[in-house]
Amino acid sequence: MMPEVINIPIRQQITAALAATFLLLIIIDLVRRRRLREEYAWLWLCLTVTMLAFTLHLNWLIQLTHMMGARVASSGVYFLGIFFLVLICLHFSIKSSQLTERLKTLAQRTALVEAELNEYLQRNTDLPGLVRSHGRQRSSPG
Amino acid sequence: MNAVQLEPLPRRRDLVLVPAHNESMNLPRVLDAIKSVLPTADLLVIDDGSRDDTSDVAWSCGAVVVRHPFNLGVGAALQTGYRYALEHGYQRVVQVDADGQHRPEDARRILEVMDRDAADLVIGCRFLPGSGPYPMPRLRRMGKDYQAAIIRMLTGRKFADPTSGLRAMSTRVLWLFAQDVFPTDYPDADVLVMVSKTGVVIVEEPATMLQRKAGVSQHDGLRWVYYLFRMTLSLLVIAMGRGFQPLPEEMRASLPMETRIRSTPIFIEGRPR
Repeated sequence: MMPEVINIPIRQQITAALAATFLLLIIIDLVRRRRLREEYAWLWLCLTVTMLAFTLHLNWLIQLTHMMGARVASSGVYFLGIFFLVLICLHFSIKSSQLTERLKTLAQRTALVEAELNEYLQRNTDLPGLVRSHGRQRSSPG
Repeated sequence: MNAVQLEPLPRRRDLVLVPAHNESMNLPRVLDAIKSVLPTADLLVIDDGSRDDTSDVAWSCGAVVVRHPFNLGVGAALQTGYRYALEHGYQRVVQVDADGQHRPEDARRILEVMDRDAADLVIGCRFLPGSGPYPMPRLRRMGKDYQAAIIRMLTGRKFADPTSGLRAMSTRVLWLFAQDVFPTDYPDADVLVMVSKTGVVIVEEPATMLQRKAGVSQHDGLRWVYYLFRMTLSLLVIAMGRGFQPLPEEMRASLPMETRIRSTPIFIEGRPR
């Protein structure tokens, strides 16, 4: 069975194309202003380019939907959309795991260096616990 | 241009490592007891981002204090201590809980056992002949037995008390535990499996543990469920090949061919004796 050719109203097509273009421009601008790192931007760029392609060539979407075994093009859009979101969440989880690991190491190193400095100050000056007295810590009783 | 002259670091012998999170109530008594039993050892308290004045209390008790800027978990706190010990050249480290459930006498004894048996890791066990009574809630006992069963499956060895936090270790084990695979939360069964595979000598020694006197345990409510889940997942990835980097050749030199466990435990299923 061949997929039927569906015509969607031209207004819908224009809205979708405008949304995709808008997103594309925002992403590029964010990268340009260094608010979004390139390593995160490429996924979003893939998304917007795909959106734009499907908007301009509706037949591709219909053929893809048919290939996936779905009947209505909107099911295909939903499936692809949700799948993409899951991928992007996974990407963020990986990144945050990496950051957690680095943050742990960094915090440990800071703590060790602070202790080292503290020990040095205690040995060489009359300022016990100088380093520790910052922030919410009281200065030490001595 | 002359290089800056640095004094060589002195080789230090013993370090008592006390990870503490909001333990200012228990710390003075615990630290004083340790100092009276192990007077020659250095005392290190890792304050794992406490909200109370744990670091001040530890400081005024005469301990060296390393303070995490925020809470990282008990495994990370211990690891900070291991890294400190490695960097300062300590040869023996014994870790003792800050809540007062470990007796300093046991800490001293497992250090002695470490020398006597030429062991790299000595674990103070609550459930061996010679251990004092330790009433354990049913759920937690099941968790411990579950971990012991999996360890046995993965390594073929019996550990009487895989969740014990009273451990003494050598430089070799410090070197392993300082690696990034060391877990940030509870370093129990997963660590024992990984360390068993490196060929160091592990010994279990009976110890008596007391119920905590004040404050809150880290094993409350639903965290226990999450803990078991996390542990199962860790053990699964360890079974699939995750582990410590092997010891470098110069550290392996005096190792026996395979891991030995002396004082083989007789399982008594955590019953108070």
